[in-house]
Amino acid sequence: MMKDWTGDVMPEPKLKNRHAIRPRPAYKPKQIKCKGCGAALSVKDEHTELIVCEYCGSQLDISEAEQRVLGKNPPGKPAFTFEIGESWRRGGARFECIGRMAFIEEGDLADMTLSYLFYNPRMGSMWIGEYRGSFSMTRPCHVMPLAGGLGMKRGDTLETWDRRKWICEGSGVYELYYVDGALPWIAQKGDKVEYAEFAQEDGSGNIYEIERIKGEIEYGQGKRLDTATVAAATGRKSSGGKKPPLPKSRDDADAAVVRGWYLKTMLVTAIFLASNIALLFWTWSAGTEVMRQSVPPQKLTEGFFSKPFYLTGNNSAARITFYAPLNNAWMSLETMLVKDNDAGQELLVHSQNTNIEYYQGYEGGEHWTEGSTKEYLLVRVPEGGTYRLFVRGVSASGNTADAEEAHHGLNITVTDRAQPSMWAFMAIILCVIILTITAILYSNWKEKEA
Amino acid sequence: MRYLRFIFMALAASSTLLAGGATFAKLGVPVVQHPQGISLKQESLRRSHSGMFRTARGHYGGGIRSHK
Repeated sequence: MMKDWTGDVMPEPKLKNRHAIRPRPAYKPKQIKCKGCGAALSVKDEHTELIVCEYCGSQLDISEAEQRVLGKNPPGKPAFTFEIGESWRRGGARFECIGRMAFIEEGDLADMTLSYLFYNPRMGSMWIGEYRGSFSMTRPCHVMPLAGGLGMKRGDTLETWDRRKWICEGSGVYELYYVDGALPWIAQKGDKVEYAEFAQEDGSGNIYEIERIKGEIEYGQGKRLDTATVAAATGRKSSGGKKPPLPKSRDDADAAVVRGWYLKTMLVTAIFLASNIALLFWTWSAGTEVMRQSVPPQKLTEGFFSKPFYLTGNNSAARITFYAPLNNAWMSLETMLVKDNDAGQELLVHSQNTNIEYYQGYEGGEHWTEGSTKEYLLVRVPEGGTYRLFVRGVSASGNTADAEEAHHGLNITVTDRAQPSMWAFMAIILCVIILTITAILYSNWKEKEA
Repeated sequence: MRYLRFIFMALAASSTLLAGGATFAKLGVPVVQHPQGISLKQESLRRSHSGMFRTARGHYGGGIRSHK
């Protein structure tokens, strides 16, 4: 079983003469002298173009035949976790820390991003990133995005040519604040690095990076590392041990995972919202209409018995719907549910007062309405049988406070085996509130820098 | 959102379940006031002498009355 540099299992190579493959010959370190102080320095990576003297701090450009001193680091070394020369063991190979960089954003010295260049003479180099105690490992790659990249916002989606989808963790511009050791390019304090970082959509912890340094774009792929992996690779522990402990991690979930939390919460809430809307429609359509009658104003003033109708009983609900064509008017109704028994008697089983009012107008150029032209009564009926309604009402327009007769007609509908809709309505309101809060939090998370 | 999502999803789920249960149980729907029934004389209702109804009614006002 072969593993790649991240530790993932790789397919066996299908080569007939694979035993004939020779390993890459190891690069032998080259010795140079610091032009600043004359100290002997060892160049361990053949791609090194910049080396910082560990004695005088001079930044030396060794990319040309003639060595040049580019400058010096500022006083006060950043709090690097790993030292130059420190080991990182992975897959039986030892990588050595040969270069370190500290980046700041918007001049904030209290919030540095640290990068370590680890090198193995046979396996090349890899970058270890550190931010607020969280570590990641990346290597340069040639996989480009299909579109977009730099300048994307947190939560945005990016697809690369290998058909993998990534969620943007954040983007911005780093400023190189400190560098030491050796690097494969010329880096100086104050160099600007435009970056965008991504986490794989599936939440696997894989990461993808895009960086633009001095006009050149580079791509990298890697993995987030948990504390246990870093401890195993470096021999450091989160507390105690011979070496200084690892910094405390905030254990932040990556952008893909957090985005997943928001989207799943919204999806689940939307499903419940849809269920409640379906329940509401069902409650509206449930039951059978057993009586419909229109009443003129005069008859309503006198009081009238409706047409008889049959109710199932067994504690099923009966809904009585009143509709009055009111416009800036009110109607007061007194309703009795009367049962006709076998002996020909009329038995009052329920009485209730109902007010209908509807007002509308314009204020400040805007149309306003108040009340409704419809009202409902919902009651449970224990006994089945033939029932009638006795209804009497008065109505008036405008701000008339009292009335002795009805000036508006009334439509009455009775539905047997109706269902209450208030519970579904309340659940819909709660789901909408949850959905709105989650959407606002998601939007704020996207806008906020990582 | 690490923990809040559980609260949100639990709230949405429980409200849906409660809404379904309460709807089917007809919670909050009153039973008729007199299940056995009270005998009425139809005549008295028509002539408005039953005492159950007043002959004139007032409205508590709203809309235009409240100067909207």
